Amino acid sequence: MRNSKSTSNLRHDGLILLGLAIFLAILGVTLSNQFHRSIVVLSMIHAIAAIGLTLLMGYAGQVSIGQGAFMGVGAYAAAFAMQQLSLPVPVALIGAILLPGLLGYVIGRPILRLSGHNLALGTLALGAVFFVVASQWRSVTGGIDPGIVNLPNLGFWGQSHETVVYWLSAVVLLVAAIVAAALVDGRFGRGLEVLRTSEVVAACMGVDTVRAKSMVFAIAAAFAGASGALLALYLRSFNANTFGVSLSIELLMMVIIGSLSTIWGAIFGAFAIIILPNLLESFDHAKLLVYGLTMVAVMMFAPRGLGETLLRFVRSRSSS
Amino acid sequence: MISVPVLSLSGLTKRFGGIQAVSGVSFDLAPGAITAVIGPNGAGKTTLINLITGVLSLNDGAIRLEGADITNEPVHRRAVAGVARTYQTPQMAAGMSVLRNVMAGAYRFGRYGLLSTLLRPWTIITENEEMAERAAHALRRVSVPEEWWHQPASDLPYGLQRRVEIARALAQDPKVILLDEPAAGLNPSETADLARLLTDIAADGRAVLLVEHDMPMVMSISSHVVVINFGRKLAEGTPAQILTNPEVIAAYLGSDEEEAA
Repeated sequence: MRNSKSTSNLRHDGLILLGLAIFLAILGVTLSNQFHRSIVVLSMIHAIAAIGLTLLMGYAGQVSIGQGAFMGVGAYAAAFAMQQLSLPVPVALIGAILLPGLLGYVIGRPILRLSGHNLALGTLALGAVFFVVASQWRSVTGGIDPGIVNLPNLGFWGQSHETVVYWLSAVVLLVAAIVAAALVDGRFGRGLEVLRTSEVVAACMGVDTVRAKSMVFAIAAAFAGASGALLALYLRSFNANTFGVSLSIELLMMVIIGSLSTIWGAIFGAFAIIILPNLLESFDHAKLLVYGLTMVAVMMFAPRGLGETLLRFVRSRSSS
Repeated sequence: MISVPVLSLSGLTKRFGGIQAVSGVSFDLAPGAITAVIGPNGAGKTTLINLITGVLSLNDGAIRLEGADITNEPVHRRAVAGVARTYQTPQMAAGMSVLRNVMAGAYRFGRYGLLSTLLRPWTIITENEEMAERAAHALRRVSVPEEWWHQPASDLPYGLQRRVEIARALAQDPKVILLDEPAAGLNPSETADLARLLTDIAADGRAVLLVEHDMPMVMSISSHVVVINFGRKLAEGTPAQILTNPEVIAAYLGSDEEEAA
């Protein structure tokens, strides 16, 4: 199958990106049902954070159950920038990427001394700390009640708020995907992959492992920040409960269900995790049970991620 | 051979608790030559490599690379300065192709920083082509057939993994290359190929440090041999000197009775 001598996956990634762009554009134009639209918007928004987590977990091999906290930081940063500093949306969005990124770097350096289960617990604690701060720091977050309310309606030129957020999210998702694809395809990504297997080997080939790990933690936090800011813009009101531990675990599941070895899996995983509960509405009381069983089945039969397994299946069919 | 040493080790000492793993070991690595370190299992040979690369920190002693003191440099800076190594068991990164593994070895030749990549993702394409070129050159040099290049490196036969690992070290274009038992698990013809390859690598002007148990190979290709026992340097000299050193024979190469048998 691989007969090309191409050394870069970027062209291949470019094709997927183009396909994704067309798919999202068609959905954006044709989906008229409000509910369906909202599901796609939420999927896109979560996919951005999930891509960041794929870099951290899939490529660098560092687990985080605290990504929801960075989404929250992004959300509050965007809200603060718009409501209290009266900054325009694009500036607020950039702030909501930089602040969590910086915070991620600062927190990453000490917390990444942990690894494996300890790192998982450390990042989980990070999420818990965030929740306490977000629910108590009332001057910035508004506490639990009322929280952040009345973020501006982004509709303009006769376009609804939902429509504007749809296209904004689609653009941010596509940019996030291309940036992530470039990162993993380049030497930084190769360094991370070697590091995942052995930090000694990575260091002995010249990778500053402490810095590389902190950087990827910061990048994942920045992606989460963008995702959280978009979620804030979309919801227009939220409180600390929006960014609790369950969100972090959902992000984790998106990556695991999607694929640990390609960033495209994260997008697939995000759609799957957002859509699945809605498909299960008809099961009523058994909803959670069916949801749980589905997850177990995926882990048993597609341990490399549902997205990747489906892709392999399609490839093996088309090549035989 | 009189030449300025590439790597100069003086009084290297490493203690693990109360155990002296390496104590007061000094010797030099000359450019363009293979220096072998031999000694019984547990003599401290691998520890020595870990000390030179910085994976383990020294309790005492100093390491100089081309005159510059690198004793307190972190591992990655030593690698960038020109120290490369292989491992006793091949350490192929899981899920990475052979080519990508070796490209990773060329890490230090990246021209673009992380920020540049974030802002201008397309710079990756040209940089990857350059690195693939370096990797391809290294892989051809160690004779890994091209049909393997896109296979996952960890799927390769053991002998080939060893060669990929040498290629990965060569992709670093190192001044010093430290090889930890590269002939272990190889058959005689593979060992002969390896001996030729190592001689060839030294001919580049690199200093080669060879930790090895295969005595015929060590004695045939090394210009200098250092014998270590219980963490101490027992003897050093040319292969001929080492082979006739009674202390070495007693401690390591076996007694007369065995030779006679």
